[in-house]
Amino acid sequence: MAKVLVVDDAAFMRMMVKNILGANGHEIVGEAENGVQGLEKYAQLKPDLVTMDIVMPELDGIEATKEIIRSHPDARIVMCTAVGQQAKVLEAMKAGAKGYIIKPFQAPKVLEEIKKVLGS
Amino acid sequence: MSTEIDLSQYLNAFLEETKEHLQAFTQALIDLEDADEERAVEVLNAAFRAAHTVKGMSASMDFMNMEHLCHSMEDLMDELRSGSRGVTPELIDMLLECSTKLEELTICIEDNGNDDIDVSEVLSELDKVKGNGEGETAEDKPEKKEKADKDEGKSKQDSEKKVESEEGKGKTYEINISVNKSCDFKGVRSFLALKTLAEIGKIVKTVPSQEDIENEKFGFKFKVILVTEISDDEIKDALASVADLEKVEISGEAVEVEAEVAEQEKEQKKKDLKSEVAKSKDKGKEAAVKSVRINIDKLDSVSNLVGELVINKSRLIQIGREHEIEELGSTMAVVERTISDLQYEVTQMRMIPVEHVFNRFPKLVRDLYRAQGKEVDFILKGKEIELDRTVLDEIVDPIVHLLRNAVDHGIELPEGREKAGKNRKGRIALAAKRETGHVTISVEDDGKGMDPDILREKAVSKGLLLTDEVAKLSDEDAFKLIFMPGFSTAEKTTAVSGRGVGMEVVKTRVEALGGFVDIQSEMGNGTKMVLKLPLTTAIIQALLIDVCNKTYAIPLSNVREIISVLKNDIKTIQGATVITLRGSILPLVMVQSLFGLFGNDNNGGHNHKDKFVVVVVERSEGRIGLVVDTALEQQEIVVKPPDEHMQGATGLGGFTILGDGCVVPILDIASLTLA
Repeated sequence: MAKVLVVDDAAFMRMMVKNILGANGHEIVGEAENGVQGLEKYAQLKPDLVTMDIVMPELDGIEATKEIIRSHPDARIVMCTAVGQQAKVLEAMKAGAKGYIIKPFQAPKVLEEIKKVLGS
Repeated sequence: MSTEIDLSQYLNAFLEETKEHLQAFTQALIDLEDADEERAVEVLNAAFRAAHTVKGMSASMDFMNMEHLCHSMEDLMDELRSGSRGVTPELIDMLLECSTKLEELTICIEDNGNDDIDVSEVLSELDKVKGNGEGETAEDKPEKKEKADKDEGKSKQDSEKKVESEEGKGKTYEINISVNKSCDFKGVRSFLALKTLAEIGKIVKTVPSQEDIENEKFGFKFKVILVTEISDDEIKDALASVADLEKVEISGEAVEVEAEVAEQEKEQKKKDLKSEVAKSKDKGKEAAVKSVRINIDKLDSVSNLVGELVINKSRLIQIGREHEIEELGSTMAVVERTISDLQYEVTQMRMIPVEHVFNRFPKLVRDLYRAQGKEVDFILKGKEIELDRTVLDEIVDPIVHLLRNAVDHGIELPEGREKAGKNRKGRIALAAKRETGHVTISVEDDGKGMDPDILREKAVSKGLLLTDEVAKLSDEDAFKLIFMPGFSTAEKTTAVSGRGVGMEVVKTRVEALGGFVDIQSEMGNGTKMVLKLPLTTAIIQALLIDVCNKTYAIPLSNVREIISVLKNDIKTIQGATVITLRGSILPLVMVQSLFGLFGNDNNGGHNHKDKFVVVVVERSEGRIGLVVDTALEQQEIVVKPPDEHMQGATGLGGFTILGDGCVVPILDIASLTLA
């Protein structure tokens, strides 16, 4: 199905996203543990979709999203977020992210979101 | 499609990562205490990130107590970050207490698979500190304000464009959108819907206003008036890319309006984005770290396999030699090189910086000295030094014990120190140092030092030694009394560090790893405890010795030198066989009598020789000499732990298999008894 880049500073979270998506036919083509790495990997791998954590060292998910969208306006970025981060998520959407998934991840919701965003 | 998430598979990753983040968190808080303003922002952010990440992970694992606690900590830290509250030692204490609680939770999860520990007390304390602690999370506050400002500007823009759009071309639609009631962040979701619509047409109006929608000031429905050239079906298709929209109703009025603004608007948007992004460009870039996590058990089995290769390699070389097969010899030379490279790499993989365990100590030491009203500067050195993971795990408790001793018994109270003409603040240094073939870890304090006379008295009063026995001990040897079983100078246990393991256990643990403990102490000036540790325990350099035609291995890390001794130089002092080596007494151990071996002459082995080979080895109690027949060669050996038959046999610390298939016992230098 889709080629996905997972950006999150917690290996645990990356594993979770990977397993949910991997179990449902998506291919995880890369992982990054901060925004800077995320940008590099995006440029290098050109994935169909990025899952992007918000709070990360080096470059946070919002700045990374802005940067990716700047060079690739059609990038499909889904923010990974926690409860209580509405403002941040909204900022990310304004920056060009296409969707968001909320921790703790529920597989059906994650998959639905990914499907919607990929369909756009 | 499988949509069920089995959480158990994540448990290890969760625990490991949580521990790392907790350490980072604790370290940040301790740094915060002495940080200047600029640094404070940095470490607070680091602490916040750690708590935030743990929150997210614990929520995912359904550890709700942990999640609540992290969430509450996050709120407090946000007040600190925003500057609405100053950093005080009390607040740091409070947060450190939280981190202790989190550690407890982690342990509970590790042991029981759940986080059923009561956190209500900590939570209510946090709430008290936070004041009201109610309402929206602090995290959103500053941003919301900022955003409101931005939105104001934006709505102005919007209204200007509305005027333009009157001239746009296309149909006008009224779209009623219902958001799913179970949707999280309905404001954001609705924003996505609006954004999608803005991309395909011109939004003339929304009810309620766009800001209200973004700020969730609506029920679950909102209305959009859109001008676009595309059909209602196409609008529906576009909105299908937004999740959580329950219902989309479109009624088209088919009013023709000019609408060429859309394109312009898009251009404008892109420009805005560009300028915003430009700011963030100059942030530091770091090379990507490529790493995978491997379970230590897997690494162990790889080490073992490499160990087998090493054994078989020597066997093959020997066969080549015996049968004089030249080709095999040259091939083996290449294989040998590859294997030793492989061995090096595997050993390297097992190495981790001591930082991993050192980082938890500042908090421990701080807790200890604060509880006793003492003042201490705690210094960490050589955090980057690497040690085998197994070795590192084993020495955590010993280091804790040494640090505890340094605070409890070493450092004096501030008043006492002043009287003694010292700085009120004591100094404890924990340092790791790489030396050839081994690593030393030392704990040094500038406290009152150890009093050999008190130690002597104590040994007598505990019935461990007789008065005339202790009188003969040099001061240095008197220090070593603390290693004796039953000799614990700690009368009480402190709440902070829990029960001590005793110096005896420190010694046993370190020696089990093939290392030893050294004590240097000076009355009034402080004590230095040094743990000498091998780099790794799996494959070691060993000296092979021969005793009565039997081969034994001695870890090379213990060997100081090999000397030749004349029979006449051997003396017996109070029943102990000794020699004088460069002016000091060296006790001897007859290896043959240890294992009840007899030489080929069937006549009592060494007794008829004029010259002996003595291997001088070092251990915590000092140096001793092992009397052997021959020192054979130095070789790399793979340590196999003692099997059940060997356990309890003093003097043996495992065995190894040599190239010729011979099973060779490894001498455990620490447990050898003096003759």
